[in-house]
Amino acid sequence: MSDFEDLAAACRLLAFGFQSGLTHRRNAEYATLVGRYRVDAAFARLLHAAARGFDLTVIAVDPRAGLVFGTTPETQFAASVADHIKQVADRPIAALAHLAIAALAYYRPEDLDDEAHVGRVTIRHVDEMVDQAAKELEHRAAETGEDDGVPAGQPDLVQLWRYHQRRNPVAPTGDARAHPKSRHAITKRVAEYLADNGMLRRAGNENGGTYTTTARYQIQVRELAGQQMLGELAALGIAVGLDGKPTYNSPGDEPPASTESGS
Amino acid sequence: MSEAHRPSRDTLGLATRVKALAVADPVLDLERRKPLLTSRDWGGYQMEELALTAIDTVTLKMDFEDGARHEDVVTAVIRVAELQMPARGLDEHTDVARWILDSLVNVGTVDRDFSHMYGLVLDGTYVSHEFSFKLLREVVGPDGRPRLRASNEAIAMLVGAVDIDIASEQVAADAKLEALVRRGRLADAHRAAEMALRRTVQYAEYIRTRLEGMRRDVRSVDWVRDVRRIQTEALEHIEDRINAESVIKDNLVRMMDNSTEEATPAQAAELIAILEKCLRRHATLQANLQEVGEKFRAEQERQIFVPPPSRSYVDLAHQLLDPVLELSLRQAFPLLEGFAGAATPPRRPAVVYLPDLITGLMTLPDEQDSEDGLIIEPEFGGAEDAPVFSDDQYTAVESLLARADGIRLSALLKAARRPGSCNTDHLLALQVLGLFGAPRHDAEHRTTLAALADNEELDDEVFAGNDLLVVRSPIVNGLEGEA
Repeated sequence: MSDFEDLAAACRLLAFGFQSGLTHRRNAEYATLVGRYRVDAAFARLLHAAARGFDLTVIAVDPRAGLVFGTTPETQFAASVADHIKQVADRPIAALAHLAIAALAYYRPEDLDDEAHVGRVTIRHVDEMVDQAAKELEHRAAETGEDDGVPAGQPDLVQLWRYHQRRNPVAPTGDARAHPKSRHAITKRVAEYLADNGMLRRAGNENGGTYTTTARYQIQVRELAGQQMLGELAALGIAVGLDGKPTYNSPGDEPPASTESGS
Repeated sequence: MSEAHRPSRDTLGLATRVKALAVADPVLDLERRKPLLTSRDWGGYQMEELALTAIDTVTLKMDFEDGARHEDVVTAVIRVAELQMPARGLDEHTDVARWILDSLVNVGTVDRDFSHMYGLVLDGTYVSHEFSFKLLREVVGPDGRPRLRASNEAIAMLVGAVDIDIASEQVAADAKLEALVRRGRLADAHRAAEMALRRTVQYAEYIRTRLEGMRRDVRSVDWVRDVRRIQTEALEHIEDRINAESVIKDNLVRMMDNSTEEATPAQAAELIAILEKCLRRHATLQANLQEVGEKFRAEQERQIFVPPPSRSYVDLAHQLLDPVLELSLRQAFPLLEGFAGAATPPRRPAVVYLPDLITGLMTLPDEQDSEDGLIIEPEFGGAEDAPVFSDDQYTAVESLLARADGIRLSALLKAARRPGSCNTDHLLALQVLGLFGAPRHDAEHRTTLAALADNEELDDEVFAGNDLLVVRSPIVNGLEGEA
């Protein structure tokens, strides 16, 4: 086969990778290309080079999820919250919902690693999870007697949990539909966006909407999103122990020894 | 902690009092806004009383798990509105009640928050701060529909103070009630008893929020230091309250039995009812508190006794979600946006193809006339076609033709052109032309009237062509006449 045909095949696989709702189990050509990637090292190199040209990285070519891309900071292809949430005031809530959905779907760190784990989230429980975390912070703030005000004229200095708490989780409307500015409605919009892009699967309407995770979501959260955000938090000087115990906890509790056993 | 500097203290002691005043403002504001609703004549309602009724209803209806339903609150407010303005209809009372409820929830703002400015002295300089609060908070009920809970600020407003130790206030309320009952001042005691009931609700709310943190994450609370202390304190406090309130109740029962006055037994019965409500709420709280240990162990089992992580992946909830909630919006949003971007697949941007762009820019915008403009219904008048010839002219022509037999068109035209009959010649010419194409059968006289052409030129001022000969011929039978 000529070089040009190889290149065309690599680009074809790249194009399949962009169709995030598609898995190679549903498309024979996609499946052939994924199979070829796994055995043909030259082809794999070609694919990586082609992806690099798009400012993308190939996170994985996975037997379950197919081709999974990651974005580099330079790329034009990264999706942002602004694309699917039009209201500026709603965006922090929506971005937080992205994290909360992942956090609930992979509540235990080992769930992220377990290939067989299918996370199951509902809109209501995602909201409750953040809400309870916020309540705990509220309680702690009340105990330390911390002032709860925000400097005038600088509304973005409000702590995120307070911003979350101010927004009502639900609000009544004339009909039984959700109020578009309520937290549940925003979380639902995020979940629907993820479902449209092949990251979640719709699994019913209970509790405001139930979703299960896909392999692709697991890989992207594990390999890219989680690590990246952890790094950024560390850069801000906020480090939290691997056992999940926040550093501000009482010093009496020692973390169990040898948690850093894994890779 | 994210707060690097020392938490700012309210050195002047003013901020607390400003906040206490601020929470009353939304209620007072209702009365101020009332005359501004020019379309409605709601001047006669006392809005503050209605608002307090709404908050009161929510406070008393909410229990440990559930909130108050919107309809219940509206109903309670309508009842008071009816007392204030009995002349007005139920529809208006409902409107007023909904307006009150919407205003207290602060419908129409994004956050549904009220805010108020106050100042703090930080290192010798005065800094303005914004205090945000809610009066009625909308939460999710067990069926997923919205419920209302009164905020701490709202309950504090009802009982008339903020930022106080709730447990000691409750002791004080009971002591006051006890003193009033002992001296037989039951009218005053009624109000004191209601205050005591609200304190009870407030205390239950306080305990509930403290226990919720534990339910979420047992690792963030210390059993000995936090939970057991709360539990013991609260149980002791409730036991004291139950005892104190039972004593008051016993006193009241005795008073009711020995009373000679008319009014006292009824007043005492009301007081007993309120005290029983207090006692019931205490009992619920007590039951909840006694389960705390069990719940803690169950949560501990669920949360802690799981196998340790096999590989060092990120613990999303504890390593990411918890810390980021503590950051300010300014710091947190870029991080969250990064996470959202990384956790979603790359999107294909819409690529602009230059010729398409140029065509798109050159195309004139569509005329938007169908949806936007007012559609005017055309009105159709009764316009009829004006007949060219009048009935008189028809009769004149008919009479001419009736007599015609072997007469030429020119002669007929001359007969038709009598003075005073304009256009009759036109009608005649048309009729004769018709006879040329289609002879007219007269069934009555069994004759056929027809016009024949015989190469005679018509010499006329108006018409040209053959000078037709109009003839009448008898019909032998229909077919022959045609031929």
